[in-house]
Amino acid sequence: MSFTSIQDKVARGERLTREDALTLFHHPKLLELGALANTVREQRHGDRTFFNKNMRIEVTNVCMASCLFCSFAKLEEHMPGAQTMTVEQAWHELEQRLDDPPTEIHIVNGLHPGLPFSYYETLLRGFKKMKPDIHLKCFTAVEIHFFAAHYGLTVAEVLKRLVDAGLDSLPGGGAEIFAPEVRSRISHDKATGAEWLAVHRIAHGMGLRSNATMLYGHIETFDNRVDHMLALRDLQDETKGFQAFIPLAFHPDGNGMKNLPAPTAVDDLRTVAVSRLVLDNFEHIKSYWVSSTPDVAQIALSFGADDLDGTIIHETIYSAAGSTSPSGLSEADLVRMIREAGRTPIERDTLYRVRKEYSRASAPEAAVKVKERKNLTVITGPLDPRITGDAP
Amino acid sequence: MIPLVRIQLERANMLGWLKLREGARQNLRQDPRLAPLLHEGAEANAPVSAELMELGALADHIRQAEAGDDVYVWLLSDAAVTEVPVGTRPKGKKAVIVCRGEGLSLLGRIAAHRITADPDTLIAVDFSKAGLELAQVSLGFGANAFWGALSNKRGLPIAEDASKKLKGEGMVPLRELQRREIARVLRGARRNPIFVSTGEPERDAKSITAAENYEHAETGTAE
Repeated sequence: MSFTSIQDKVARGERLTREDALTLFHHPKLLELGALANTVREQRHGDRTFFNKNMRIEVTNVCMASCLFCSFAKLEEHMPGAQTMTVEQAWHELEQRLDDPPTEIHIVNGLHPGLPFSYYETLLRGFKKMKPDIHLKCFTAVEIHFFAAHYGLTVAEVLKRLVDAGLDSLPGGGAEIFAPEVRSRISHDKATGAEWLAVHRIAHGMGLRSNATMLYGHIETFDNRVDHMLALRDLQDETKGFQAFIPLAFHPDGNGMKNLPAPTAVDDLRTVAVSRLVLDNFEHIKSYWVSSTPDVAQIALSFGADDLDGTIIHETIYSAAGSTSPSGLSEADLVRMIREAGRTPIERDTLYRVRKEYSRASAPEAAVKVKERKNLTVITGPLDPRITGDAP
Repeated sequence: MIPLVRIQLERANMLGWLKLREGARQNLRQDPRLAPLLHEGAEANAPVSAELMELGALADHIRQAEAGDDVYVWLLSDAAVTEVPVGTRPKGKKAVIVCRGEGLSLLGRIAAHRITADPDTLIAVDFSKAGLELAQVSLGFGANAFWGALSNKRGLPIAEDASKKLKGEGMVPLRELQRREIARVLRGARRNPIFVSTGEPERDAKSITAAENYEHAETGTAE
């Protein structure tokens, strides 16, 4: 299958096959791939680019699973660096931001064997009591699966009790790579790919929305990535419950795969573009700036992505794995990044309802923002010295 | 160039620039959409946003047609040097334009230089300023040289004798590890790395020395 024939299929709105997806991953011209993904992105969303005001809380990093790619988890409570918040400490994280509150709390944790299930229910109830309209996007499918097995409940029972306590939707984490031959090597002691999908199927059946992720750039192959996307596409055909797909770049520092190199920016952009083209039933493709750095995430807005995630404050999982991205960005930072990329910033809530539509900045306005950014960051330098050297 | 890209370039009124390149580069450098990107203070009026992808596609097309897939790499002791070290300019290349900056405006600047530069000019990205991620992306916007100093994660120079123990390889100089990383980044962008030796610290059996004809140089040696 040639790139041109895939381009024709995309123009006709035809679904891409596994073979097409592999051709896209191997296509040597990155900008051609990006241009094709960008046409689909602009057909769906025009210049509109989404973000939200969210905060992340990781209440415990104690985790029974021993995933090779994780730099965040501690196997046992007494290990150096192990942390578990009391519910009061977790609530305080929101309490101190009530002057300019987020619209969403995103909670992802380790699989802690020593906490009672009531801890999580109390946690959610406390947040809702403090701010009833806050959206609680909490617990990956891996955690939900763990709760069911650990507390002797069904997945549906776990979800129902959490929904009763305030859960609004599920994040997309924990998907990693579904391929059993890879998953068994990098994360053998937690939910399988099939179990991850089953949790989301049940959640969607209960009316919950969720996201989906894919951890790429470690020991998986392009075939594994494509199969992962196709499994998500199949489930989305069935349930229509996914909101966004989020490719997550592997970071090697401080984990069991530290000898592997991290995926490069070209791989990041290629994966975003292919996912936009293959996942034709996903409304949104996120460029998660924490994973790919703000610079690359910004460029990805021209490679198929239409969402930058959110303000995040305060991310710890990727920073533990050596990410050089900041642990949070301000609303103004995100608006500026989107405008610089020639897009229109849209602040959304977790369910993609528009909260605020910004204007698309004119060039001079964007330029002012660039200068502000220079004062905040250090990436600048003298411009374009034309230099020549003597021939040998 | 695939039809989709050609159509986008036509819509952006950029295809005509290919003809202008043949005889009137000076005029091309005055084009109001390119000129701001070529000079200091480029961010003030740079059309970096909506037309960035088109600029990049055109620059990449020109790069491939005129310069191929080779990428020359200068590993310097100090990235701020203002001359190509004597004896390290590849044969047939008259000049190197080193582009510095940040984010999207850097990509726009590189593309503009590629579109307006003579074919025998190397367009370099200062990877020690831009970071390897952005530098790699810039290869799709017309860059065909890497220019910069080796440094650690804090941006400090790596000592000449610094090394790290690798399984099966013993102690490996950190500078060699960074060379390997840069080679991986370049190959990840489907390019051929050519390391240009810039003095004793970087010189080894696999590097290219001044007296060699680069057209016959060994490429992709650092992995």
